[in-house]
Parts: sequence; C-alpha cells; structure tokens
Amino acid sequence: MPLQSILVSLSRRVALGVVVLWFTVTLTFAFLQIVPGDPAALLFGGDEIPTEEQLEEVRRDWGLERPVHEQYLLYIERLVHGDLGRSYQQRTEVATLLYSGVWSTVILAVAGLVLAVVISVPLATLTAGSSTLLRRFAFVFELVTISMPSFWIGIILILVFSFTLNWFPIVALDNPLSLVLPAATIALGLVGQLSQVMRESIERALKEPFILTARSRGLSDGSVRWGHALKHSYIPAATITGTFAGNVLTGVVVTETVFGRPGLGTITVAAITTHDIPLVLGVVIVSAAFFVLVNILVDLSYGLVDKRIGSSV
Amino acid sequence: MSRDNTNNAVTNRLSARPKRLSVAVILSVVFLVLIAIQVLFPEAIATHSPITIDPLAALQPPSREHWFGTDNLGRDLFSRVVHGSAYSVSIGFGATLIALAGGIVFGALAGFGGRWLDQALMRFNDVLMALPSILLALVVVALLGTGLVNTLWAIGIGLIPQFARLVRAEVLVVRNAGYVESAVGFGFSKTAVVCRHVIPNAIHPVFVLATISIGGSILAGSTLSFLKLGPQPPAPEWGLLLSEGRSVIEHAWWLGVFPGIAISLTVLSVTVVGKSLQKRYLQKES
Repeated sequence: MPLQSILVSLSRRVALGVVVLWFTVTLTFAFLQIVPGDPAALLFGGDEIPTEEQLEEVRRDWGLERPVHEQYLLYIERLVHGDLGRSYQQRTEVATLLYSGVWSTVILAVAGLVLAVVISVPLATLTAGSSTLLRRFAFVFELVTISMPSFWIGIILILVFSFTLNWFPIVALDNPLSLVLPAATIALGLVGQLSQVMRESIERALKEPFILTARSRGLSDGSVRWGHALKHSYIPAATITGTFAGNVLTGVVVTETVFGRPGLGTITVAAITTHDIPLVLGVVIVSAAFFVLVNILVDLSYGLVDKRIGSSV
Repeated sequence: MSRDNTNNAVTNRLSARPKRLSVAVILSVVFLVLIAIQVLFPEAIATHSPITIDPLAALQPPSREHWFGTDNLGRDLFSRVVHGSAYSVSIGFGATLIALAGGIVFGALAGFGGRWLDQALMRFNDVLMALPSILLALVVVALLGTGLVNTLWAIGIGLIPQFARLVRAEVLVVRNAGYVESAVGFGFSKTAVVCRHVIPNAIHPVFVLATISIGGSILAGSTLSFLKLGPQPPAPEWGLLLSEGRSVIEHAWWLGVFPGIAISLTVLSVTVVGKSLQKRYLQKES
C-alpha cells in the first residue's frame, strides 16, 4: 500500500472528524443561545438563585456582554486551547472533574467491549448458515437482549449473581471481581447487534466461490469458517461502529448508575440533575472528540484487514 | 458434501421460518392490543389506585391481593405498571412522530430542492448521524429540563437524520418515475406534485422504519427515565419504577423484575411486528 494514499485518506478522515467536532461545538453554543432566560444564570446552574457577583463572574468568563459572534469566537478559542471552562456548582475546572472519572470509565468500557467480542465471534461463526439448535438459541438470545433495556439487564444480573448466588460483590470497588457484572451488562447490550451483523456477512462469504475452493482442497468446515469466512465479517461489523460506539456510551452511563460506580457516566447524570451546564457541555465535547478519534482509527484499520481498500483509496 | 448440507440447511430454514414467525407475530400483536387497552382504559384493568400510599402494605411480595407486590410506600406495583404503559406508548409514538415530521420535511426538501440544497442538507445530515444520539438527548435534557414532553424532543430530534436520509432516497426514486414527470408536464406546481404524488408514494418504507423506531424510542425513553432525566415521580413510567426499585431490590426482587418485563415484552413485540412488516415489504418489492 503506497504511503501517499494512506496519507491522503488519513487527512480526509481527519478533516471530516474536525468538521464533526466543530459542528458539535457550534450546536452546543447554538443551544445555549436558543434557551430562554438569562444565559449567565443558565451557565451558573444549581437550584439556588445566584448573587449578582456570581453572575458577573460567569459573564466575564463567557464574554456574555459582548456581541454573539465574539462570544462564539471566544468559546472556540478557549476549546482550542484545551480549556473546557469551569463548573460553577463544584467550583473547579471541568477538565479536572472529567479527568477524575475517566480511568474508571475507560476500564469498564474496554472490559465490556472485549467481553462482547468474545461472546459474539464464536456465536456468529458457529451458527452462520446452519439450522442447528444452537442457531435457534442464538436467534432468540439476540432478539431478547436487543429488546431488554441495558439497565434492566444490570438489575437482573445483580439480583441473580450478587444477591441470590453471592458470587460477585458490587460495592467493593478495589476488588477486581466487582468489574465482572458491570462489564457483562455492557457486553449483553452489544452482543445482539454485533453477532447479527457478523453472521449476515459470514453467511454471504460462505456462498462465495473461494469457500468452495477451500472446501475442495479438503479443509474442514471449522477451518473454512474460522480461517476464511470470519475475516469477511470484520468490515461490516466495524462499519456499524457509529451506532456501536453510541451504544457503548449509553451502556457506560447506564451501567455506572445501576452499579453505583464512579466515572464519567455518573458525573454526567449528576451534572444534568444539578443543571451544571458547563460540565455537561464539557462531557459532550470530550465524548464527541473521543468518538471521532475511534471512527478514524476504525476506518484506518480497514486498510490493514483488506489490502484492496488501502490501495484503491 | 458439507456444501450440500449448508444449502439444505438454508432451504430448510427459509421454509420453516414463515410458520414460526407468524406465531411470534400473532403473539406480538395480541400483546400490543393488550397494551393499547391498558393505555385507553387503565382504571378497568388496574386493581388499585397507582398513587395511593399505604404504609401498612409496604414492600409486600406478589400475592393474590397485590399481583406484582407493593413498593416501599405500599403502592400496588401491578396497577402502577398498568398506568405506566401510557408513558411508554406516548414516548414511543411521540418521539417517532417528531422524527417522522422532521425527516419528511428535510428529506423532501433535499430530494426535490435541487442539487445545491440536497448536498448541503445531506452533508449536515451525515454530521448529525456521526454523533451518538445519546449525546444530543443529554444536551436537550440538560438545557430544557426533565419531563415527558422534553423526553419526546430529546429522543425524537436524534432520530430525524435516519428518517431524512430514507425519505430523500425514496423521493429520488419516485421523482424520476413517469407519473411525476407527467404531473410536472401538465403544469402542476412543485408543491402540489410533492404533496399529492411524491410523499404518498415514498412513504411505505418510511412507515416500516417508523414501526421499528417506536421500539427504539421506548427503550431510549425508559433509559432516560431510569437516569431520572425523564418523567418525574410520582409518574409510574416503567424506567422510573425500576430506578425507584433499584435501591430496595435486595429485599424486594419484584420491584426490579416486573416493570422490566413490561418494557422488554413491549419492545420485543414492536420489533417482531416491525421486522415482519419489513420482510413483507421487501418481498413485495422484489
């Protein structure tokens, strides 16, 4: 794959990512302008009526006495310098607050994702194009998990494995076992969609001529599935990253709330209930940036899996 | 040898599927009719008042008197679940209607508004679709506040891009059809052609998407409620019931079970009906 084509496609994706980010920032700014009432009071948040001095502080930080386009430029400039603003409710920098929750959330999300892949890959590979009992089980399992809200999956797991069987603690955060149920909650929320998409593309691949060739060379059914057909499910599965990453995000917020784990999810929910608008905007912008980054990485990985894509761009 | 097996398996599955599916579809429709009756006549089905507090009857397990048990204030859970169905159904339909209206407007504008407008709207759409809808929902709730109506907006707005993209694609197909060309040729105005010919013909697949997104909206709505960002207490919304039950499920499992069954069965039924509509429509197409 020529280096130049990689650079071209990379810069195109980065440009699109920057547009998405800019759009998100602009959208949040536009929302702030649309909402009726004093923007300073809105940004200050909380349930108590702020004093005139406090409002003055907010106006100074956000340049609210200036014309709208200058406010907008100030907002952009601050973000470009990595300044996410201040939470007036917690009297701290938004960035500091987010940093305090990020690790716990990343560990949870990664554990959930890995578990989802570990379940989906065998489920899809073993049941593609067959009508065994396992396939029927997989069909029902996927439909049911897709229909269950992930917070309820979490509640059921707690009821069964913590309270009834006493296998996993849910309060002891320093105990690694306490990660099992939250990760399973996230994974079960993702498995249905992921394995359906993978199975469809494996089934399509199984009808291709090269599978017949492989079989005629005497390869076993297992090595045809795992060695040849499975590879073809990567790109369709990765293409749904958009919705998929959104589901991971929802899963994290919900799971942290169900299990009472500290992290970005609980910070966000608390920020919304206390009307801590700068903190909410910070969460949204950081997640959008993360989301854009993941999408770029996934797009780049296509070239590694399928050499044709890398050279044709 | 093994290839034959695979082929047989595929044909078997195809011939076996319609039968199996139709049972599932009938069950789903029956369940949805039950839900509709609950929404229209909750008093006729509920055994108790959904809001009357009875401290003496707090946290009772399911019994002949209280079918689903009672919560920590002694309210009858079965009656609360029955009354809660109206919330889930309004969120499912309301958010979908918002998305449908927005999608039709933007999709028709893009499909019929000329090349420049089309490009502009669709790039805007791509960017919106690239954002997880939960982020949008959280911003809307943070700025507008909680409550049923704001929940509808928070979920509905995020669904608009999907509908806009589909409506536009359908409009482009219909637009090039002969009868539209003749209507334009007869001198009807653009608006008249769009309203009387293009939209009615483009709308079938859009309704399939709408059915499926009712299920998605119910899930999203119950999630927002569970996070206490949707309808507020004492509303018996199903997600909120689970959220209130969460703190006491160690002693009262029923509070964490029955509302979840209600949500899941409703979403499952809507999904099954939507998928069968989709299949039927696609078969008719080909």
